[in-house]
Amino acid sequence: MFEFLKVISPGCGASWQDAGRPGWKRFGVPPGGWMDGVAAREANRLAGNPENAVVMELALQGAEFEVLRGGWLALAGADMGWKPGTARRVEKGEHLRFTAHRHGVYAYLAAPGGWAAPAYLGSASVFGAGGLGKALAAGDIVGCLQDPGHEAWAGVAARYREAPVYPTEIEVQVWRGSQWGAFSDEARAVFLGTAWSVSARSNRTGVRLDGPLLDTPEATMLSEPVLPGSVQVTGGGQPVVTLCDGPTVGGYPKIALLDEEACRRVAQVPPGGTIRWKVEG
Amino acid sequence: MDWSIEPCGPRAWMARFGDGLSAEVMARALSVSRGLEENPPSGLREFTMGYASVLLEFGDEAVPGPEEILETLQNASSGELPSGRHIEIPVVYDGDDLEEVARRAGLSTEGVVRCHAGRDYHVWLLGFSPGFPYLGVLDEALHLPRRETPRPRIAAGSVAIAGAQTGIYPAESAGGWHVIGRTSRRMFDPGRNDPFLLRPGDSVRFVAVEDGDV
Repeated sequence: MFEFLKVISPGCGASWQDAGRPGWKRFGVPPGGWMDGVAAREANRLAGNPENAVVMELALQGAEFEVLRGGWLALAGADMGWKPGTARRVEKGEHLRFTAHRHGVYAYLAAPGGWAAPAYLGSASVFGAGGLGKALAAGDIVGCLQDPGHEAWAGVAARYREAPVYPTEIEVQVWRGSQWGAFSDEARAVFLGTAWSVSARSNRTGVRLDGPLLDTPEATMLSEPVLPGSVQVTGGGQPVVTLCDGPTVGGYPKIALLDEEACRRVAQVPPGGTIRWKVEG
Repeated sequence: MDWSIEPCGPRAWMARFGDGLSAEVMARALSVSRGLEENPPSGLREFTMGYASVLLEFGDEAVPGPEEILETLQNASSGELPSGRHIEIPVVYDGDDLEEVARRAGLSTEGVVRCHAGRDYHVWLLGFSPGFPYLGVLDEALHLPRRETPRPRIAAGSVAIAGAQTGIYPAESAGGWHVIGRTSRRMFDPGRNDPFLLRPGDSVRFVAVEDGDV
């Protein structure tokens, strides 16, 4: 490993992520993996890496690092003060601050060869709540698999691509969920008619939506499998978009289902941003 | 109950095969689970079990149609019930909810322990969090709805009950079940050769021990 950065602060959250660990859900292990695969793969491309190399996922804002050796880094995804879609050379002693919050939620930092991170059940994606790796903490020293200072990486700086600006208001197409029919007409109308506000209590397990509380079906359900992208409605009536660190089975009724692309767009809406749903067909 | 099947987006099917917690439904769930492990339909990326349901997720290849899925599942469930291992779990019965459970069940705390530790359970499925075993079926005397307000923090190793189920929290988490005891056995350890202590189909007996023995 080539030691590259020292974590001064992980900000709202910093963790290793890759494409996740499919195949373990029946043991209770969620698939995990990057929240925004398009941005994460773009970061890897900019760094000259295989697209599924391990990236560092930064949440919202606040992360800060000290550079331990000169070298190249690439960033894509949310804008936290470093222009997404760029690679650049950083110098020893420099402080990298991701303290702005311009747009989006998740940014991806890629280093040459990918970051050196331990793998559990075939993936480096951190799922701290389940004991699969640890989120980054102040004082951690992190490194990558190839010498980040090598002159071969100089060429990557030319690979700038126009990066998307993530909106704070989106409309998302959904399918009807497994228990759509168990909700009242009124609950379904409120679900589709509301501009839902993204709660600050959202995280990698799910995006919680603030707005009117929905009437929930009276019948209790047996716990059943939950697909990431399921919009579950909790006992109190709050909708939650389950993401890829969410529980693999659950007993809350599911009013809607999002596909992977919609999950990615939803994950990039910051707290206070709004989401509207429209149902297919 | 007959089988039913519904799409979950374009690449997944959810099949249901029961509507209550019975020994028959559990037997079906266990044989479906084993059948899919031994003979997965082509292109299956993964499957997830519920009590009386199974979710099948497919990769980028063609996704089989509903008739084909149902036939696969029915064949899988006609096999013999897998015989699992028998595992004893030592438990110190001193959970925060033990007294409340006893009061609501009309039993002494010793009565709750005798009732909970007095029978073999089957691992019905693993889910919720890595290695969390859903065990059935609990003695009817102990059936209680979940706590109205989930606890924000339940310690790893907590042995808990809810409805007809009992389970063990593998890691610290929030949870709505009633905690009656704790065990030092680790349900999940990614560093172990077999990371999961229990598998669907295993039978489990809780053995009451004193604090020092656990």
